[in-house]
Amino acid sequence: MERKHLTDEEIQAFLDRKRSDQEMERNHHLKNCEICQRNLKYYQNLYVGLEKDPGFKLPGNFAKSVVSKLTDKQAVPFLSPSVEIALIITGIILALGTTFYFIDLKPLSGIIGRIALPKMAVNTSFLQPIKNLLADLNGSLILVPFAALALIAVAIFDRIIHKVKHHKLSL
Amino acid sequence: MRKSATTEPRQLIARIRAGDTHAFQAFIDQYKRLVTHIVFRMISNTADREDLCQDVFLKVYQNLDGFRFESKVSTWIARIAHNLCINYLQKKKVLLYDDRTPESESLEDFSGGHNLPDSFAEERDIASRLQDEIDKLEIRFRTILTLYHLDEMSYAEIAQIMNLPEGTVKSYLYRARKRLKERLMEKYQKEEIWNANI
Repeated sequence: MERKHLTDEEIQAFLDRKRSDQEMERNHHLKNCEICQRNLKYYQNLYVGLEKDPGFKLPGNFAKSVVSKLTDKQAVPFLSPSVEIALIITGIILALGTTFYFIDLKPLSGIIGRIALPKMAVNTSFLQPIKNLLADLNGSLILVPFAALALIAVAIFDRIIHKVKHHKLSL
Repeated sequence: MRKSATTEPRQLIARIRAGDTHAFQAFIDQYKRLVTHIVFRMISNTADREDLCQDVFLKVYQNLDGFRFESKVSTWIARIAHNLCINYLQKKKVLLYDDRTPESESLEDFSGGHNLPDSFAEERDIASRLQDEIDKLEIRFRTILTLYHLDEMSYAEIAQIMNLPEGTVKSYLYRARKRLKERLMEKYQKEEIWNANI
């Protein structure tokens, strides 16, 4: 029974298997069929063309220019952890100060003052400034720890995002 | 000639990690051919190609500490190059699966056709015509052809780089070559292009 012509897929698979001449000879049909031989030749030429370097070129100083960009980037100082912590603490203090300044804390400070201070009336001159401070803070003190927690959470998220960003492409 | 030990990827990377910029320069020289193949094949805008190649190596440097040698260095770099090119194309709103030669395209749009003018045939050599036809294929086809034939990567490596199943890579490669063959046969005189030694 005569074999059908080789399909494009079969010819490509044949060429992908290192294109040995022995294997070619083994295929009786390919050896005797002019149409398949011509198709094989087309693909052989195509493979040769595909393996040719298309001649894309980068400038000769490419590596140097990349390295110079690298040193430019490195020249920008990254914040050290201690500076980062100092900035976070400053941020918290500023947030607390702003909160104290704008929010009426009087009712809460009155309650705290009554609970914490009556038994310490012995040294009133020492405690008087604290009493006065609490009296001045006429508002809800509960917002203060919330603001501090929010700032700490933002700082932690920032660190996590920074780490993930720099490691996501590692295989 | 004896190959210098410093060109070994592991040693080179160790030196780069230690802050040796000369080692990074050598590293770039070693892998720039691969990066160029991918970027130049995927990106048509000539003005942006060099910048993208630079971005690839800057990204490689940035992520070098995280590289754990679980894949070949070339596969890892090619993956970074491929991802950056995809990001660039998405930003520029380039259709990733756009074939630049639709079936309906008229023959007048080409300088050739079955009756290729002699002068045209003389002007351009066959290899450059093949490159032109490759450039008209879909980006994924162009990339696979380049990685397989030019950079001699395996199906598994290409699958890893392009984040595709191995079977899909095989099928795309077959389709790309078949399409290329058909287009070349369709547009240029058969004898001229196929009997010549490319």
